[in-house]
Parts: sequence; C-alpha cells; structure tokens
Amino acid sequence: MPTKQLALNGTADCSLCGALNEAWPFRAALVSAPVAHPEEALVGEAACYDHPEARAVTACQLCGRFLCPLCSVEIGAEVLCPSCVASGKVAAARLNPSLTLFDSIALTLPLASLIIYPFLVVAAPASLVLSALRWKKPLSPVRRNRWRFVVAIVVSLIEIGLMAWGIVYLIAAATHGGSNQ
Amino acid sequence: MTASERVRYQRLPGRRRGVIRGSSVWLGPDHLLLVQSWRFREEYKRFHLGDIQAIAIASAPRFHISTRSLGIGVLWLIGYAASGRLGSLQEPIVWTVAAALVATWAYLCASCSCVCRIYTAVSCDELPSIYRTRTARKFMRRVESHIVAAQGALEGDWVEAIDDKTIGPPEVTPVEQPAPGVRDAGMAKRRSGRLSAIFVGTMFLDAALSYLEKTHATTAVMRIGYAVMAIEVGLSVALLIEHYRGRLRAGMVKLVIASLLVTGITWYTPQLIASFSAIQAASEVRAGRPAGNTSVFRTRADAVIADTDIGAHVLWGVMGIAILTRRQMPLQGGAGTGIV
Repeated sequence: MPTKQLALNGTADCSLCGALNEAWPFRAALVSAPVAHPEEALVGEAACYDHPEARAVTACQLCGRFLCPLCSVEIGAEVLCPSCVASGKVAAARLNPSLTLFDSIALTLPLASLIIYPFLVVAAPASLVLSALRWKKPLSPVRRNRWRFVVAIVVSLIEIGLMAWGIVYLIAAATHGGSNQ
Repeated sequence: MTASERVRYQRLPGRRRGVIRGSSVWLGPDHLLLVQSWRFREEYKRFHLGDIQAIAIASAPRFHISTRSLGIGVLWLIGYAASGRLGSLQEPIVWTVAAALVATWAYLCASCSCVCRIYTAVSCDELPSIYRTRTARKFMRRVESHIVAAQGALEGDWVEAIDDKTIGPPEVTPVEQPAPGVRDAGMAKRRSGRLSAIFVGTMFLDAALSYLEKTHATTAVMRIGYAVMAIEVGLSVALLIEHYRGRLRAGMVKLVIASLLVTGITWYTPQLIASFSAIQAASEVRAGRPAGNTSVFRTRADAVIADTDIGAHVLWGVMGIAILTRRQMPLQGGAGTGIV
C-alpha cells in the first residue's frame, strides 16, 4: 500500500488488487518487538528451572519455579511458568482460547426435541440437569446474563409437566375404561 | 470467580450473526477480544491495545447471509404463501417486494462491504464481525482513541519511518506446490476457473429448465432437467475437490454449498410432501371423506418449491458472475501479509 498516499488521505489504493483501503497505523508499527535474551547464570546465582545455564529473573507465582526471561509468561499482573499455564491452573476464562456454551446447549435440547419428539423424554430432564449443574459456572467472558438457562428451565418444566399429565391421563383413561367394562 | 474472569467488556460496533457461525469484537481494559462462535462453542482471540500496529479496511464484496436477512426471507415466503389465498392481484406486489429486497441485499453486499484486518507484529487477523464499511468506520471511531491512549500518538515524520518497516508478520514467500499430475500451477488455476464458469452457467440453465418444467412440462424437458442437475452436482463435487487443493476463489465454495443445499431441499421436499399427501389421502379415503384438500396443498407447495428453485438458481448465477469477475484478493490472513 502506498504510505505517502495513506498519510495524506487516510486512504490508499492497494497496489496489487486496486481495492480502496483505509488504514490506521499506530505507534506500535514503528517499535521493534523486544527479544528475550536470557543472561548466563554465574556460579552461586539462581538459574532457570528449565534452562540451568540461564540466570533466573523471576519466579512462577503459582508453583514458585525460577524462570528466565524466555520462560516467564506474563498474564496481566501475574508471572507464570509455561507448565502452570499448560496445566490450566490459572483463570480458565482468561486463558482458554475457547469455551463450550452450556447455556446454548441447555436451551437447544428442549426446543430441538419438540421437532424430534421421541427425544423429549430424555432431552427435557437433561436440559434441567445441565442448567442446574452449570448455573454457577462462568458462561463466557462476554455473556453476562443467564436468560438461556432460565428459558431452558421453564420450557423443560412445561414439557415434563405435559408429559406427566399425558401419562396420568392415559393411566386414568385405561383405569376408567377397565372399570366401565 | 477470579479477578481476571470479572473483566468487563464493552461490545464494539459490528456483529456477524450467521446460521452456524457468529462473531463479535469486545473492548476490554487493555485489549480487544475477538469472539467467534460456532453455536455451542466460542473461541477467543485477544489483541493487546499496545501491540496493535494497524487496522486496515479494504473495500470488498461480502455476500453474507445473516440470520436477520434469513428472517426477512422467511417473512417474504410467508407473504408469498399467503398471497395465493388473497388473489392474483397480490402476486405482482409480492414479487416486486422480493426483487427490491434482493436488489438491496446485493447492493449492500457488493458496494457497501469491506474486509477489516488487524495487524500486530506476529499476526494479521480478519475481524469477521466488521463487514460493512459504515460499521467499520464506527468501529474505528470507538477503538482509535483507546489504542492511541495505550501507545501514544504517531509523531514526527512517521511516513518516512514506516516506509522502512513491514506492518504485520514478517513476509514469508509461499512455496507453490503444484497438484500431483498437474505440471503447471497456472494451468490448474485456469482449469478451476473454467469449472467455476461452467458451474455458474449451469445455474442459469437449471433456472431456465425449471421455468420450462413449470410452464411446459414435457418428458424431454424433465429428462434434460435431471441431466443438468446431475451435471451440477458433479461440478459441485469437482469444485469442492479444487477447494480442497486450495485453488478455488473464497466465495465460490460458499456458492457451491448453497447450490447443493437448495438442490437437496428442492429434490427431497416434494417427495416428502407427496408421501405425506398420499398417507393423508389414504386415511381420508379410509374414513370415507373426499381426499381433495391434500392435493390442493401439494400443488401449492410444489409451485412454491419450483419458484424458490428458480429464484435461488438465478441468484446463485448472479452471485457467481460477481465472484468470477471480481479481482482476486491477495490478502488471506496469517503470515506474509504485511500492508506496507
């Protein structure tokens, strides 16, 4: 992209495809990324747990292992070692690159079983159990309310109620039919 | 709940709501959070405000069918189904509305759409939630001040300084690997282009034959129709193989999947309705009632399906031409996509 044209107008035509581009460059574009160069540990100095030849500069805030600049993983204000990060001991919602949306599953189960009705017997109680088990667990970093769980519980309870009424009705009809004869 | 989980996010302009996929971007205290959802799963990617080197918006056609547009389509379909009861006067109005809706959607997709990419020193990622130019500008107005606050403003002669640098991950020269049995990669590309063009042609041919079948249903027309449909499915398979080999334009694969879906629906639905009608008619006859109602419903449903088939094929054909005629976008994210 022609930078001079970009600096003047804020827009520039792509030199390859001709499409109109708008670009906002920021200061980070001018700064070279810092490279971690661990210093060699001298005799008597604390060394990194994974690199015995490198000088330790910090310790993991969970397991206490000494870490060189190469091994220290900064997550917000915390400094952790790669194995603690990999073990999932730290704030799951912050580190996990993905989460399963149990509230969406709980909502879909009773609604989808209305179409595939033979599964209603299993789906409605399953949705209730899932909603109860997952109610207090974090949903997702961006979902704040639990309306899907609420709707899932209400729909499941209605379905279970209707199923129970149907069973009672059938039993009553069978009993009445039997006593009339 | 840990402190990090209680991070409050503000939703930023732009949201992609698809049938299966969705996407949104959120603003955290020190980062942007890209959320991509697949119905029952969400994936997150964080971009620290201090690491963002640039955000670029490139004008590009984006033929995205959102759940909102699908909802409008379903409303129209209900209106169309109801127009049969209201009388023939309503039908031109319904079709005019349909044409206006499709034209608006096509205009928005072709002229008011964009691709928004975010660059850091190690990555170049597309923000799928931002696909309309107006939304992209709104998004930039919200985000720019936060990034500048985190990094400081560009000062002095940044144009000269930036000229020496590459924004985004370092350039990696892709190694062209021709497919087995194909010596020349250019030849393979041309072949996939030819296949795409034939496929787009069959879309129009299918629409024309479906129209003929509707108006002059003869055995010959129906046989040609079946043959064209078989060719269309064969071409779809061939194009999916080309996509697997990485030689197909991005939009074309979506078109192939959409056409296969429509073909499947228009092929199986009449058969299902016919079976349902036959069962219904049999039960009516058994009960000693005339079986007239089911055949009326079947005729109406067949007409709706035929019209949907024609409309969808014309639409896919037009979209196919748009995809074939538009210039190839070289940036596809990942490494080697520096903008300066």
